[in-house]
Amino acid sequence: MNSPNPPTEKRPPLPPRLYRVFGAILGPVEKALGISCRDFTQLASAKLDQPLSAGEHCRYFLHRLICDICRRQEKRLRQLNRLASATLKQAGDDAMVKLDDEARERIRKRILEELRNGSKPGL
Amino acid sequence: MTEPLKPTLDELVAHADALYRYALPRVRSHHAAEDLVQETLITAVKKFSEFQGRAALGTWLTGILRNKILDHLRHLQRHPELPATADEDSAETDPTVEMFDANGAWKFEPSAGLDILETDPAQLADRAEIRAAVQQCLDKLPLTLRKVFVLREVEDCETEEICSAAAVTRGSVAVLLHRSRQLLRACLQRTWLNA
Repeated sequence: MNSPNPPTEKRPPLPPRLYRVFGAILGPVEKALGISCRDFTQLASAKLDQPLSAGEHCRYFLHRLICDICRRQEKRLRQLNRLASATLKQAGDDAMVKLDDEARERIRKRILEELRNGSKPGL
Repeated sequence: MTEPLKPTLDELVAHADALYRYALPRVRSHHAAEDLVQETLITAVKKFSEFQGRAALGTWLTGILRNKILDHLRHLQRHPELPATADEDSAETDPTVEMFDANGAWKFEPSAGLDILETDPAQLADRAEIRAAVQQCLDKLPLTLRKVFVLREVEDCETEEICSAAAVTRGSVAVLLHRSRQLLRACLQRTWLNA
């Protein structure tokens, strides 16, 4: 008996035709100048953490000027960073997440032990 | 200036849950988070004389915990519980390479399926399914990439602190951050396109 085909994973669509046509023509030049989309994503990421050098900034700016896909991707990346940060910080506010009673008791005992043995207890 | 009132043991232990919630998503291990909370409270007991009462007790405890987490990550990097695979952490292996063609142009539309990110991140983070997707993708990141990402984006650590906690060189921090951001983007894109 044939098993049913597993559902195929949906892949992201190809970039627009215009992008691909221009890429085929200008791609090697952009690559040689260090202003390809790949270079841009590295520069855009670095820019989030530290100021770029003058040369890097020129390459960043030049590519940003001509590539709509990368402009959008850069924006999404910033939004994604904020979402990831908000998600992990939110996890810290989730009242459902708590120590179990056993762990709490163990910690309490350990502190008491420390208070008995400690040379200069604060409490 | 008057000295802050010393908290009772119960008052101190009352902060344990909040500290645990802070530690858990950062260390990804239930046991490690418990141990870190315990160490934090013991350190607080020992060093209470240093608490000047300028900030709330909880804030002071979180500060201690944050340092404990950085120490823990540093230790983990030196003595990994699970050795990182060559693929994971090697500086030579760039997982973003398959996103681009030979000329460095995108093979796929990188922002497709990510329109949801236009919504306010705080509102998005309120939705359990969004939180689960982000958490799942963060968990899929190789250990070093995840660590570097969390230190930068959640802890707001400076490059020096990241280097020290993740045991990476200054030069590789930018590369690792770039990879982690792109892998996270690609993972969420896959998740949301297939939802």
